[in-house]
Amino acid sequence: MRISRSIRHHALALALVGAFAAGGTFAQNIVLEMPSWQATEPGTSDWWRALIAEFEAQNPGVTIEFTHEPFASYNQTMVTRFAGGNPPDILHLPAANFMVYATEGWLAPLDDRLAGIADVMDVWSPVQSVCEYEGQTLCVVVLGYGYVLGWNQAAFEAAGLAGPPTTSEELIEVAKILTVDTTGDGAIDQYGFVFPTVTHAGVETTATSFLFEYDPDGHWVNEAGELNRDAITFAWTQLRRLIADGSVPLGLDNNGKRQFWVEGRAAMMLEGPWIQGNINSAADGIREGLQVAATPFDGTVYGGASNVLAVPADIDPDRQELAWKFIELFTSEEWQSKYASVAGQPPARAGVLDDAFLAANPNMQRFVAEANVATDFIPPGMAANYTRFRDLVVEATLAAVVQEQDIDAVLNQLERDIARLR
Amino acid sequence: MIHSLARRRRFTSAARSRLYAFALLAPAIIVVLLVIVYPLVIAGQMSFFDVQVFRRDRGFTGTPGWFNYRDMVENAAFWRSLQVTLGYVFWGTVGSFGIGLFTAVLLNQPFRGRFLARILVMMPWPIPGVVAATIFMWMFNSSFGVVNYLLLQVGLIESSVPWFTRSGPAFFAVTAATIWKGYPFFTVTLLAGMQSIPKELFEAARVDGANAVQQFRHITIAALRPVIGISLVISTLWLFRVFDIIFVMTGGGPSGATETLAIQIYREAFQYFQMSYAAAVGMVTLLLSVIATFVYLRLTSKSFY
Repeated sequence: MRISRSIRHHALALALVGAFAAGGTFAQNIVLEMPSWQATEPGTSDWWRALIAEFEAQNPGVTIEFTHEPFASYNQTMVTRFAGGNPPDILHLPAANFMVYATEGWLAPLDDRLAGIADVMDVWSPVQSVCEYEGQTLCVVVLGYGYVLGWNQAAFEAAGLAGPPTTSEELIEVAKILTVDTTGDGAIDQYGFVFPTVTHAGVETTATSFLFEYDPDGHWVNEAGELNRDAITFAWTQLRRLIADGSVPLGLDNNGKRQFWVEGRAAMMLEGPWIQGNINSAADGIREGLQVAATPFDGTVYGGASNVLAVPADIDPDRQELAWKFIELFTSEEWQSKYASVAGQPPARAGVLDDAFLAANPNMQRFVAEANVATDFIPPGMAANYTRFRDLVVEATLAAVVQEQDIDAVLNQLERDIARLR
Repeated sequence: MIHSLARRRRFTSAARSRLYAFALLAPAIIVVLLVIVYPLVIAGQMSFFDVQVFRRDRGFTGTPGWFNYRDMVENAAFWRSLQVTLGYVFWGTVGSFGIGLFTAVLLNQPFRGRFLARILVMMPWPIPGVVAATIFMWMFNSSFGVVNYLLLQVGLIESSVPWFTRSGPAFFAVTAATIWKGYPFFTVTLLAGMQSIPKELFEAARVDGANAVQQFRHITIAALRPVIGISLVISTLWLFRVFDIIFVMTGGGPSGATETLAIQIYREAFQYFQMSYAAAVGMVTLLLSVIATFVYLRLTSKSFY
């Protein structure tokens, strides 16, 4: 009996020690989960990892598990996790998908927290408004961007052309000149211009860029849901002309498009600031000739918010606090500046890049300038259904431009489809 | 009294053996109920509500109705997908069955290297759909694909065909990949069926003066009818739900030319988050599959031996 009591006392003591130890462990080792499709992207992932390392250094006992999820299934994975009650602690999202999370009530309002850094938000990206839903701010924009024209200087010089085009008319003309059979075997070795001509979001990007030239203040639809028929017809007609001239290789998706430009098999393409990664990946001898310029659409620029950071509503308040601290660090001048120098992307915070840096990085100058003037790619009233809207535009554009179906008939079908959407 | 006792004993024994049988079947029944019947019931229920993202904690709210089915009937994209699905299932089945029957007949003949030939013919079967789709994407690539190269070499075309930018060629490319992936199934089943046909039937037919075509038509095909029936059912059900090949090759494009009901269900549920509408399309697809199964089995269930 005495032995038994002694054992019980020892066991109790051990349990108490264990409990304190465990409690201490919990308090000291918090793991925040942050999935991202950018976790393996050269440049961008280096910046994320450096930011995470700094956050962990500032918050001993807190670690961030930065995991990779493929972009193609990223949104489905996140929605499934939220619906299943298992959201990540720090939410990194493509801006185009933000509204799904906002309407489901999955994101914590950040207004009170943002008030603490109001001076920062005053100089934040002009597309920060995409994070607003029903009067609340639910995210912070990571990257606001404008499209640029990637052009191959060597190809232009070989054709005797002075510089990149500045209007779509010039683009069509120049693209024709740059489309050449250099080896004389009857096959085209270099196309003038390249854009995706199979089912891909890049089809919408290209068509919208042309549309903005015709109607800088308009979009595919207005707030009443009426199609901008004249501007769409203009955009499709210009694209048709490029294809009719044989200036565009057919059958490529966005990756194929980039590949063609990087390998010198296409002289021009439209792309976001992530084009820098493509330039860096080009082979020696080609890379030096790959340049960026303003898009040739008479001053209008396709762009908007690329991706955002948010805090899930249904996680522990302590974790929410830590997630916010991470976002706060992300908005700091130092890390915004490093977004340009390490990730090679234009920072969302204005005024963090000094003149010396910009002078040494003319492409960055261009990216920052275009991001500040870009027109948002989401038409009015379409944010909640943007993915479906974009797919409708892609299919309609392919039907009108590549399959050369009657433009009016395609417009009528598009109008009916968009009416169903609204 | 003795009779009654014996009957009770017999009854108890029969009941016990039935109970034993059910006990043995129970795990399988439970699994089927959990992984097939339960999701089916949930999907059926969901199709009558307006759910964007399904959450078990919320359940189904709002007034149930036929609105998703009404939307579906009024949606041109649904009818286009239905048409694409029927075309895809038809050509996929015809192509796979044709090549499968041809290769089965070939491999049923004795010749040197038959073992190796059987392995080669079966190769597409274990290859994952995504891999098969990638192979065919390269083959049909408009710039450097081998299909365009061969067609140019033999003079059938004058310039490269952009396979994935036009409706007809894209549908052809996707169907070709599907047939390639699907024909070995027919080869296996039909070859097995052919080897079980009694040799005496052919000997008797030869004695009666039947030629090779007559033997093939009146013995081989007639004897294979139940095998053909069940193979067609399985293949059709597979084709109704093929997703990987189409999604990887075309994503359902261009302009919906290869968007089957399976692709539409996926896009509605996981790209546009209209899960109730997707469930409604799923129910219709299920109904079509059931109808196709009944039709095939009625047409081919009779065997002459």
